[in-house]
Amino acid sequence: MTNRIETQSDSRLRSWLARWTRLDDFSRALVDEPSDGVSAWLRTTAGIVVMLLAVQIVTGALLTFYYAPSAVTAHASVAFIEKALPGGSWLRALHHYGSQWLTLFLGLHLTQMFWFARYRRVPVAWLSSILLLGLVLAGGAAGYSLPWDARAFFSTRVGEGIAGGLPLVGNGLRRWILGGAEVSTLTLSRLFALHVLVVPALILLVVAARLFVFREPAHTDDVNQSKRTWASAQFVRNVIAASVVFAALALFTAKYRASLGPTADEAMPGYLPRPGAQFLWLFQMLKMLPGAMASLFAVLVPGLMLGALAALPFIDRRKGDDSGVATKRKLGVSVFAVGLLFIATMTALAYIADRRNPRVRAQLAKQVAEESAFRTAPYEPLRIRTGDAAEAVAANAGTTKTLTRSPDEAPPMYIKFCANCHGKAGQGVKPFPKLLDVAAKPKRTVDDLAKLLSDPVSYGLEPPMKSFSSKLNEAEMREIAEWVATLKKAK
Amino acid sequence: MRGDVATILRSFRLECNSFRSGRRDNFIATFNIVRARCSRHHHSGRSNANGRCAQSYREFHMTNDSDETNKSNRSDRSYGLNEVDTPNQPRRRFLLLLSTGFIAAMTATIAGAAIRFLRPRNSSAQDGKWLDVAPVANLKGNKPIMQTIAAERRAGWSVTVEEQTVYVLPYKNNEVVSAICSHEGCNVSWHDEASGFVCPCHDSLFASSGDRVAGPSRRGLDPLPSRVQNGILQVQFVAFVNNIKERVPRG
Repeated sequence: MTNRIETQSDSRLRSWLARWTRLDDFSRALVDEPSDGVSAWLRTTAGIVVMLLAVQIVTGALLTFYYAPSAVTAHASVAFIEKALPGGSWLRALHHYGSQWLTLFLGLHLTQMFWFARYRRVPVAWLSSILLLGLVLAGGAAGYSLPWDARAFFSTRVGEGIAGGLPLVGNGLRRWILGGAEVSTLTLSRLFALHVLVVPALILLVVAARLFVFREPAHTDDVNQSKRTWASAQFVRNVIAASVVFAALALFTAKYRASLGPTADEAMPGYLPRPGAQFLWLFQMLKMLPGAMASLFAVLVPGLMLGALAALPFIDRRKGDDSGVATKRKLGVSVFAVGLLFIATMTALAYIADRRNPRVRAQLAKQVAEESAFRTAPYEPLRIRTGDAAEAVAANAGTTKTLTRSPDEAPPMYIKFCANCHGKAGQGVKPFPKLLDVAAKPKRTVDDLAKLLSDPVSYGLEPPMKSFSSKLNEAEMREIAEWVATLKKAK
Repeated sequence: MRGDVATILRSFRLECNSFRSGRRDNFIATFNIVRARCSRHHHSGRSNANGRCAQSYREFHMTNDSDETNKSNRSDRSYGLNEVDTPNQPRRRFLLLLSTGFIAAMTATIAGAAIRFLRPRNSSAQDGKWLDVAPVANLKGNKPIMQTIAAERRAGWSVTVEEQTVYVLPYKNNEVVSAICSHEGCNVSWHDEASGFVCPCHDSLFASSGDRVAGPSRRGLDPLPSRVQNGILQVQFVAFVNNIKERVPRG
C-alpha cells in the first residue's frame, strides 16, 4: 500500500518536473550511448570530475570567508585557517589536494574518452573536457601563490621568470601578471582575482555551455526509454564511484596537510620552492633544458599537447567505424601513450632527483623542519597598527608591557623570528642549534647576544643565521638577548 | 535489511555477468546503426542533416522497439544496472535511495566541517586591560571632557587598534561614559545649548549625567569601569549590546 502511494507521488513528481523543468533535457545531455560492464564504470570519471569540481568550489568558498588577499595579510590569514580554526587545516588540504586529484581525474577522463574514441561521437564533450583541464591547471597555478609563504613567493618568482622569458611578448606578459615590475601585493591581488573569480566563472561557463548550448542535437524522447533507464543506472554508478573517491580524498587529507611554511622574509636563504604535483613534470623538463629555451618549452609543450588533443575530432573523421576500439587506431594510441608516459616519467624523475641529490635532500629536510616548527609554534595574530591610535597604544604599553609577560615567557619577537629554528624554549629544532646555556660560552654576554642579532658574521656565525637589524629595533633585540641569556639546561 | 543486501548483491552479480558474458546491450547495435546513418548524413553535407538524423532515428526505433521489448520479456535477460524495470521495483528504488544516501553523506561531511569552520569567533576587546585616559589633576570643571583611548581588539588573524571616544564627567566623581549611543551605536557628542549629549543619528538625548532624557534610546550612556593609578585615570573598554534596556556586554 505504502509502496503504491510512494510510486504515485514519485511519478507525480516526475511529471511535474517534466512539465515545468528541463531536467529531462539535462539528463539526456549527459548521455550519449548506453554501455555496460567495465566500460560503464570507466565512464564514471565524469561523475568523479563533477564531484571534485564541487568540492573545489565549496571548499574554496569556505576558505574565502577568512582569507585576506594582500601581501601583508595573506600569510597571517592562511596561518589562522591552518592553525587556529577548527577543521580549517582539513578544508584547506581538501582544496589543495583536491585540485591535484581533479587534474588527475580529468586526465583519466580524457584517456577514457580517447580510448573509446568518444571524441568522434561527442566532440563537444571532448573539447569541453580539454578546456576544463586547461582552466583547472591555470586555476591551480594562480592558487599556488595565495598562501604567500616562502614556497608561494618563490614559485611566483619562477612563474614570473618563465613568462618573462618568452620571445616578443615576454616582458609585457610578465608586467601584466605582476601588475608592475616586481612581485608585490598587486601580484597577489591579481592572482586572487584570477583564482577565485575569473577561472571558476570560466569553468562554470564551460560546464553550463556544454550542458545547455553546445551539445549534441536532442533526439525525440518518445523512443528513449532505454536511454533514460541507462541514464539513471549510470547516475547510480557515477555516485558510487564519486563517493569512493571522495572518501579516499577525505581520508588522505585527514592525514596529509597542505603545506604552509614561514613567510618569504622569515625563511632562510637558499629556499627551494617545489611546484604542485600536477606541474612536477614541467618543472623537471625545465631542469633538463638550456635556460634560453626553458620559457618557450614550458609554454609550448603543454600548449601543443592540449592543442593536439583538441584537434583530434577534426583530424580523425573516420566514419562507419562501429565502436572506435582503441586497437584500430595504432598511431593515435601510441602518440597518446607516449605523451602520458612522458608526463609520468618526468614526474617520477622529479621525485627521484630530489631523493638522490644530497644537497637538495638536506635543504628539503631543513625546510620540513622549519615548516613543522612553524606549525607547532603557537598562533600569533598579525598586529596592525595605524597612526595616532598606535602611538597611544605604544604609550600605554610602556607601562603595561613588562607586566604582561612573566620573566620565564619568551618575548613575542623571539617567538616570531627565532623560535622557528631555535625552538620555543630555546631547545633547538634539528638541524639548528639550541640556545640553552648559551650565556656560559665565551663572547655571549647579554650585550654580545644583542649585537650578534644585527651582525652575526662578526661573531663567526654562518648562514642560515642572518642579521635581524631590519626586522627588530634595539629594544627588541635587547629583550630577546636578556631572555636568551637566562636559558638553562634542565637539570 | 536482508532484502537490501540481497538487492545489492544481485545488482553487482548482474553487472559482472553482463561483462563476463561479453554481451553488449542490444541497444548498442541499434545506436550504431543510427549513428552510421547520421554520420552518412553529416558527411554528405546536407543542410538538413540533423533533422534527417532524428527522423531516421525515430523510424528505426518505431520498427524495432516492439521486437526489443518482447525479447527482453521473453528471455528475462538483464544487463546489470541497465536492466529496464518498472519504477516500483525494489531494486531500482533501492539503488536510487543508495545514491541519494551517498550524496547526502558527502554533503553532510563537508557541511559538518563548514559549520565548525564558520562558527563566529569570540573577539575579545582588551581582556580587561586598563587604559590611560588622563591625569586626574587635569580633570576639572562642570562640563564633560572628551578623551580618546586606544583599545586593542583581537579578531581572528589580526590585532587592530581602535580609537574609542569616552567622556569623563568630573562633576560626577570622574565617572567615564562611553560615547557609543546605547540605541544604535553612533557616537554621541556634547552640546552646550542642549546641555546634554545628542546622538546625531536618531536624536537620542542624554543628560550631562549620562541618563536618558528623550529619543528612541532605551537606556542611558554606558559607564565604563575606571580606577585611579598613580594619579592617572584609567578605564577598561567594554562594548555593550545595543538597543536593550539592560547593560549586557557583547560576547
